[in-house]
Parts: sequence; structure tokens; C-alpha cells
Amino acid sequence: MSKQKNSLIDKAAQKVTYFGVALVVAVATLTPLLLSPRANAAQITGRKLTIGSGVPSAVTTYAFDFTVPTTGTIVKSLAADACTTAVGTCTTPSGFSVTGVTLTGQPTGLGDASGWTVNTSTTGSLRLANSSDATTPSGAQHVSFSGVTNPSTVNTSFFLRITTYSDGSWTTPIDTGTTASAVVQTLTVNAAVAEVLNFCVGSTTVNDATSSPGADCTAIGGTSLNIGTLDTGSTNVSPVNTNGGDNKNGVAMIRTNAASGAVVSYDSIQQSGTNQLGTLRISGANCNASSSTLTDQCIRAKGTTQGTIAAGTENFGMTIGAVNCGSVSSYTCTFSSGAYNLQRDTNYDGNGTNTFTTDSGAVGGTTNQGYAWDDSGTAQNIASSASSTTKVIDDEAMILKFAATPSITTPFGLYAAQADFIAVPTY
Amino acid sequence: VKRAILCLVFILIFSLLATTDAFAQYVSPSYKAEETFFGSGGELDASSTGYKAQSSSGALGVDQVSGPINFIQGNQNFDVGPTTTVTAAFSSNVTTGDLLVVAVGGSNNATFSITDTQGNTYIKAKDVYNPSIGFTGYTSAIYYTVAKSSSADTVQAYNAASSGFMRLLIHEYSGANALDATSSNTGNSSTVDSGSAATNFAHELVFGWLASDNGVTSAGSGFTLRETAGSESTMDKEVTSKGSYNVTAPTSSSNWIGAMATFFESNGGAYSGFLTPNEPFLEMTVNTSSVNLGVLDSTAAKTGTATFNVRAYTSSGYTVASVSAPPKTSTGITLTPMSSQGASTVGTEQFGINLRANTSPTTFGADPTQQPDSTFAGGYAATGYDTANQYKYNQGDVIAQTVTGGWGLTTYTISYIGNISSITRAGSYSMTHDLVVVATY
Repeated sequence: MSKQKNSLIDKAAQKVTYFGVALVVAVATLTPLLLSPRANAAQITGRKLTIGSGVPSAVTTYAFDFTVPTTGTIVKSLAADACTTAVGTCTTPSGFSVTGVTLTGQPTGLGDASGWTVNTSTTGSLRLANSSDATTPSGAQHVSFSGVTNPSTVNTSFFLRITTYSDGSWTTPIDTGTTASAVVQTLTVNAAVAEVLNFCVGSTTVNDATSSPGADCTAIGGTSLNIGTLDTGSTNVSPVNTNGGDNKNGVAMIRTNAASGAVVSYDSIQQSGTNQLGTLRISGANCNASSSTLTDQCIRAKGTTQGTIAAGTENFGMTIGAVNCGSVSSYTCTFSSGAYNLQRDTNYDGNGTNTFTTDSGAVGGTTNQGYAWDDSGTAQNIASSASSTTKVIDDEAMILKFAATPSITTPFGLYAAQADFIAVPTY
Repeated sequence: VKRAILCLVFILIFSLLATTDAFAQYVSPSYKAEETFFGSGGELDASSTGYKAQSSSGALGVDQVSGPINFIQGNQNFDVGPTTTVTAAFSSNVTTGDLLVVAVGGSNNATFSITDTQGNTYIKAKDVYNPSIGFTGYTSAIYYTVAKSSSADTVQAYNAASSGFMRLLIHEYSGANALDATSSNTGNSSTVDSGSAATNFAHELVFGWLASDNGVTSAGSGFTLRETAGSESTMDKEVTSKGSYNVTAPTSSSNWIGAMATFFESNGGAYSGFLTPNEPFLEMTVNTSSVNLGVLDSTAAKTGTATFNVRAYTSSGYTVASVSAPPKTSTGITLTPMSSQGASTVGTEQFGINLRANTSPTTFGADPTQQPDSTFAGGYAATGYDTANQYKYNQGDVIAQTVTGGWGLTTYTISYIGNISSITRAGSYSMTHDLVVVATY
């Protein structure tokens, strides 16, 4: 009896034990499934994160594209948690920050077309919500954040774990999926372009705006030009091929890669003698202080303001007949259409048009173009590319035309004028 | 005891039912490892188990799907030139996921690029040049892509190197989507021979593109003639065992040129391999901190290189975009980028890059290298940046990418060139080369 009782007690104890074991097994098996917050979450597909920059710590855009599988449930919030790993405990990548993040625009395909707001209160989590969303997601989804700070560690991958929620407070998940991106070492590409200035002055037989006076400065030569024997019946304008003239113009060619352009000027060389030292004169002559005197051995300089010259009215001047484009190869250069970079000063542009000056040889009456010459030795700007849209200059050549006429009292003799030409580039 | 056992059995059955979805995923033939990685918490262990099971079965490398490979349609066009472009349209809509194989040929030492109206990205499988053909030589190339949509498609070939005559032959196949082996050959005889290459999978498409001075208008033994443009032809055959294959065809004795590419069907998943991790993965590393092209010269091009690696494990591949503005000075003057693909031209202001091994303006750079080989890693130079000695730079362009999936490790070498004109503005030019990788999972 006692044994039977003990046996019943043992059987009862065994039942309790078996049931307990079974219960433990059941609880152990089902608990993870029942308690896992992602147990019912489905896989988001087509997940893609496009960051605006892969530079560490850059503040940039994060654009997510994906497709949620659950299209029958309204999404009221979304979170993209930045993590150092794709799975497991999420650790925010060093340097990643959502401070100052805004929505680049309202998301598309996620629900309502408007009403979504960003939430930056959770470290390492890009969040948006729309508690009043009443539209189920459809098609592909696009969500873009601006002002996201990249992780700071170079050559590091990081993962954005995306979760959609059916409530507006990121509590009840619907779907989830992870995408990845990387910030990489900064790669700097460097190159240098050396400063270039090729400037030369010489003489040329070219007397138009299109014929090349030489491919570049290496082909420019000559240190003088001769406008022949002056006569009161005309104004000799270079090139002069009669009365001893050498049929040449002056030329000044420039090439520079100065980003801010270049300015070309001249200053008349002060010759020996007295007064009017920089004009067309007989070297060593004693001229009058007043340039209006017509009996000394100095031909009156036209001055700093251009003007025409009348035959027999003593004057000496210079103008830029044209900006010659014949040697330009790096860009379209056409003087007649105004397509050139070296702009003439208004006192040395003849008549202000882009027509090559028609004055040439012995010009009777009054010249067609204006001329100027400053005999003081002070630098006078004659051209500049600083105001051009494209300030660099590729072998543009100024055709320098010189003009002179004597008065009936101008003494005979050998007259000469000299000038320094200077180019000043600004890089 | 019986009750306890019944209770346990019931609970265990219930537990198994509760995990059936996860379990099914790693025994299903259509299983893709990456799809389970971010499922529910219970699925993570399941995917891990499934991954190991695939490895232990010996299914190393890219998985091959062994369905039939069918020729769907083809077309051709040719232009006696001189021309730099030729187009050909598929007469019917192509189907999403189908393999599009393009054979292109042209006079001179041509550098081709292929585009189509669907916007597919074409990858060069093989090209070959025979300077003895015709008066100017002849270049043949095979390109391929996978159709991104089911719609009409017109293909255009462009020859960036020179103007001459061009041939374009287009083909659509189902049942193949990835490149395996390639070969090319030139010669002078009565048999055109593409040269041999060994395939890595049992079931493949062997595609040949053959030309000669006296024409190739019939296929060799075992091959089916597909398209003939002018007097040059494509042909193919389906093979069912691994081996060494070549494509041959008869011709009247003359100079000839041949190229072959073999294709197989990949399901886009990598199940093993020591470079493939057991989780979604993306890693990009730039190995170079600076590239100095030095003082640029209007009489000689300056060059430099940098390398970066992309190691990925994605279902739909990745792209690498160059998002930086071209080099500029502190005052904002930009070194003119090469907006379209072209050769280095001394004396012309140019900034360009490619991802190829180059021989002009000097020998520098390197082709992308896939590790351990191209069956594991699928990274290539993107269109516009994929031709040796041709350079380009457009801010935002994709410069590297995968085609049918993204896995494994690919090392890319960026080749930079800089040229200036006689009036390129003086100064120090600099660019922080910002590379952005975008993977789709």
C-alpha cells in the first residue's frame, strides 16, 4: 500500500516534472518569436542609399530608395539608424550626426504627399513622421535628408537600418531592411600651371587685322620703322613706302595666361636736349617749352587725347590700327566682330570702331583716324584685357600706326621718337 | 508520460510551424542569401545555417542556373562610311533580364562605346585589332549587357578613335546573363579562328564574331549563323560541358580576325568564397591620399594614378560615382574637364580620367582587377571610362560598377591626365576627389 502510494506520488511527481520540462521547452522556444520586435517585419527590397559625398565628416544629403513589401498598412513614421554593423547591437559610427538635419523634400511613395516632418532627437537615427498620414505606401519609396554629417573615420563602411512604423512614434514596426555606404580617405588631385607672359615689340609689313605678323614673339623682329620725309601737303601715316619710308608699321604682341588679364602701356623715352624730350624730335635739340612753337626742332606731340591730324599742322601721334588676330590659335579671335581680348584704350583706338584704319602712306587733308602721343615720359595705357570676359591673351598683336606732319616752319633734319612698351599681367 | 510526450510533440510541431518561413528560405532553390539577412530575429540563424549548407555541398563561387539558353532575336546594320556611329534596332521588344550581345566592327584601330535606348550599361567582353585587314586595319569587339526593362530597344555603336566604315550586329538571348570566358585571334588563312578559352561552367553559350578580307558568311561546324553585316558574321552554339572552346568559320584565304565570348546564367548570388562575407556587405577603400600631376605643360601631357577597392555583397550590384567638380584654383578657375570621351591632346586644356591600363600619352594605369577572379567579383569600369587611352570627366558620372550583381573585391586604378593650352590660366589647381559608392540590396 505504502509502495503503491509512493508509486502514485512518484507518478504525480513525474507528470509535474515532464509538464514542467515541456513548459520550459515551449517557453524557451516561443519566447524569442513572440517577443522579438521584428518577428512580423518583412524585408524591404531594392534598398539603396545615395550619399552626396563620401568625404569623412562632410555635411551632405542621404537619399534612400527602397520598396516596402507591406503595402496595405499606412506608414506613419520611419527611422534609419546608422550603425557600425549590419546586424546585432547598433553602435552609431563615430562622427555621424543628425544635428541640423532637414528633409530635402517630402518623401514619395511612402504615403501622403505632405505632412512629413523630420525628427532629430535620437542620436544616430534619421527619422521622419506623419501621424496623420492616411495613405498606404505604393510603388517605390524615396526619402531624402539634408544636412547629415558623415562618419569621421576614413575608409569605413556603415549601415543604415531602415524600419517603417504604423504609428507616429517609431514604436510598432512594419517592415525593415538595411543598406550600406562608406566614407573614404580624402583623395586630393593637384596640378599647377606656371605663369606665362610673352610680350614683344617690333616692326612689321602687316597692315591689316588678319594677316599674322609672326606665329608668336619669336617671329617678331625689328627695332624701328621709318615714315619717310615729311611734307606739309600730307600727313605721313605708317606704313609709308614713298619718300624714304620703309613700308612698316609697329607691332606689339602679347600672350599671357594671367587670370586677371594684362595692361599694355608705353612711355616716351626722354631724349637729350631741352623741352619736348619725348616727342618726334632732333636728338640734342633745344626746343621751346611751349609745344605750340612751330619753329623748333621738335614736332609737336598730339597729346594724351586722340584726335585727327591735318596736313601741314605740325603733329606727331600714334594709334592702334587693329588688334590683329592672325596668330591666335587658342580661341576664336576676329577683330572685325569685336571678338578679341585685348581692348584698346579709347585714346588709341583710331575712331573707336573695329574697322582697320584706312590711313596709310601720305594722307592729304585730315586723317580719318585719331592719334595721340604723350611726350612726358609718363606711362600711358594703350590696351588692356582686364575688362574682357576672357582675360587671357593668345598672341594678339597690336598694329601700331604712327603719323606725323610738319608745319612750313619746321626745321629740316632727322627726327626720331623712342618709347618703351610695358606689359603688366595680373595673375 | 504519454501526455507529457504528446505535449512536447505538440509544442515542437508548433515551434516548427512557427519557423517554417525561415526554414523554407534556405532549402528553397530560389534562395538568395542576402534576402534573409535582415528578416526577423529568428531568421538570422536560419540564413547562417543555409549559407554553411551551401558551402558544404561544394557549390563554391557564383551559382549557375541550368535552364536552356535560347536565341530570341537579332538584327544588324552597317555603314560604309566614313562614319563614327551606326545603329540597329531589335524588331520586337526585348525582355527584362535577357542577355543582349553586341558585335561591333570598324576600320582602323577603333575605340568603341555602346549605348542603347533603354539606358543599359554595356561591358566590353573582348576586342581585337588586325592592322593587316583592308587598307586601314579592322577592329572587332563584343559587348554585352542585361536588359533592364521589357521594351523596344535600339543600340548605337560609337567609334571615338576615327571615322570609317562600321558594322553592328545585335542579339538577344534568354537563359544567360553573365560573362565567363573570352578569346581573340588574328591570322591569314582559309579558316577564321577566334582562339580558344576554357569555360568554367557546364552550361554556356559560346558566341563568335568573325571577319576577314574575303568575308565570313557561313558558320563553322556545330555553330549556328546568327547575323551577317556586310560580309562579316556572328554565330553561336550552346554547350553543356566545361571545356576549351573556340569558334571557327570558313573563308577564302585572306587576313582575318575573330573574337569569342562565353556566357552563362548566374542567379546573382554568391554562396561562398573567402572574399564573400556572410552578411550584407559594402566596403570601399581609397588607397591613395594625393595625386600630383605637377606643373602642367602645353607641350606634354601629365599623368597620375590612384587606386581604390570596392568589396561588396549585394543582390543588385553597386555603382561608384565621382561627384567632385574638376580641379580648380582658389579663385574658382576650373581646369576644363573632358565632357566627352577622347584622347589626350597636347596643347588643348583637358582634365580626364579612365579606369584602364593605358599606353597613351604614356604607359600608366591598370585595368580593374577582380579577386580572386571575375567569377567572384563583378566590378568593371563604367561606360565612358572603360576604354584604354580614352579619357573623360563629368562631375557626377558613374565611373565603376557591377552589371548583374555585386560581390567580391575589385581593385580599380584611376588614371588621370592633365593638358593645358598656351593660355590656360596660371595657378594651383586642386580637386578633392569625392567618390561615392551606392549599393542596392
